[in-house]
Amino acid sequence: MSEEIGITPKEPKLVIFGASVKGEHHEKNNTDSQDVWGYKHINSDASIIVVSDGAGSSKEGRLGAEIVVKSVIEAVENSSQLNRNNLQESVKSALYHAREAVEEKSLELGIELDELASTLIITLVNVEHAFIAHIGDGAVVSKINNELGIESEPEQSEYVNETTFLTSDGWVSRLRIKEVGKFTSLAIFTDGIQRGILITEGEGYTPYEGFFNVLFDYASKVKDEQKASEDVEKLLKSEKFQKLSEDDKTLIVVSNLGGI
Amino acid sequence: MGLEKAEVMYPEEPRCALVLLLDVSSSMDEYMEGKRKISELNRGIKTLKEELIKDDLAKKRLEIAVITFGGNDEVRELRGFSTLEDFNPPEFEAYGITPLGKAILHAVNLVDSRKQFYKSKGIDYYRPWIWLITDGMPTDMDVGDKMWEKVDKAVHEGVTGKKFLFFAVGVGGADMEMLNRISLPNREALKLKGAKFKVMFEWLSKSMKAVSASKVGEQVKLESPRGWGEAEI
Repeated sequence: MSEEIGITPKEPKLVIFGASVKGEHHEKNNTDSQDVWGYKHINSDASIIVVSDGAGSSKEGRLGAEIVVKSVIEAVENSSQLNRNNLQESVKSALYHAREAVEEKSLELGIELDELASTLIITLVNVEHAFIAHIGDGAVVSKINNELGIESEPEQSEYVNETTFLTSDGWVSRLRIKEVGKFTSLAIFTDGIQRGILITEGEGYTPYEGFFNVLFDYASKVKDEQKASEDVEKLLKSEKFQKLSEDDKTLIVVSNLGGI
Repeated sequence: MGLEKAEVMYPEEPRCALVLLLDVSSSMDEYMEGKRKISELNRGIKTLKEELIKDDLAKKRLEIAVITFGGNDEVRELRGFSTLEDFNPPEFEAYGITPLGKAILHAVNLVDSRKQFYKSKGIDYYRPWIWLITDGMPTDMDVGDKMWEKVDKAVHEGVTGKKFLFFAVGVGGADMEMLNRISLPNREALKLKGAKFKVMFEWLSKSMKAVSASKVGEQVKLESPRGWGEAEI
């Protein structure tokens, strides 16, 4: 996570910060958090952020999430120079790579693929645009031209259906891709905090202003990613958020200093 | 502006509805392994509450309704659904006959109207559970008659349509073949081992805790009920 920061360019165009906090549920049972995230600066102005939430019902959900995050970042890093034209291909092939890695692990451990189930949000960003690949729940909210919007919603989980995971049979058809133009800020989060910051209205979602306006205002002033990440961690550990749910909570923010 | 100013909303907790469908006919007054079945049932229900109330999520999310059937062909619903804290069922007395058919239909309707309520309030909900405990032969239906057809259809459509989960537990002299006809093919009816009501209710409370902690829509893996029940096919 923060080890991935590496060398910060002299004038950082993109600021990335955030945290993942274990929920009460896992604290009480003394088990690991099942939210995993990572990011990497790919080249001078592009970065990739990967967030994965291990399925609660899967014995090795966390391991599945770790494998996914690691292999997606690896695959994108190793692909040739990323540009507008091959973003979608790069991300899709990274997904297949991640899926293969999880399948291999399930064979190695002699367990069902299901036991390694996790959701996934991949966000590839540079100062001109963002590219999102999303499987399952959690969401991505943006601020563009002073307006809040939701770029990728939690999967519409009908009552009868399960959340889709990378390990699910129908994952390819349930993969959602979104291209976003120039943005000011993005927030990527798992379903542990979803309820508290997204307003549900009928069939869709709206970002809650009381939360996002404060968050993005804060983001626009961030100079120190490490400190900002600590602040987010504090926020997620605060009673306000603990009261919301016992689930693991992850919130990652991208602030585009070259943006509008 | 510091992050501490960020506000968060607190929408309603998702609800998990459990309907206990209980046989209080006269045969439940009989003894099994030196214990009065109805007393063991009453004790078991207390255990259910005691175990569940320790769990924060179950406390916030679980709602229990009790329907008893017995007496003079009576199906009685105890005041709709209550949260764990408000769940204080009386000690049941056993007497009378066994209107199982009517009782099952009542449970199915109760579940359906509760879901309508949730929908009207925009409350998320888990798939409700109907938990049937009976020890005898129904007195209001026979396999193949009109009531039977109605009940069979209601349960099968409900389960296949994923409208609720249906668990049938036979105690003592229960007609397991009949229970299996209603329960299968989705799930086997289980025969309670002796008078292990308490163990059964402990299992039920563990399962309810797992459901309360799961995400709505996520499938929950249940532990084997071997400790208290066995399938008889």
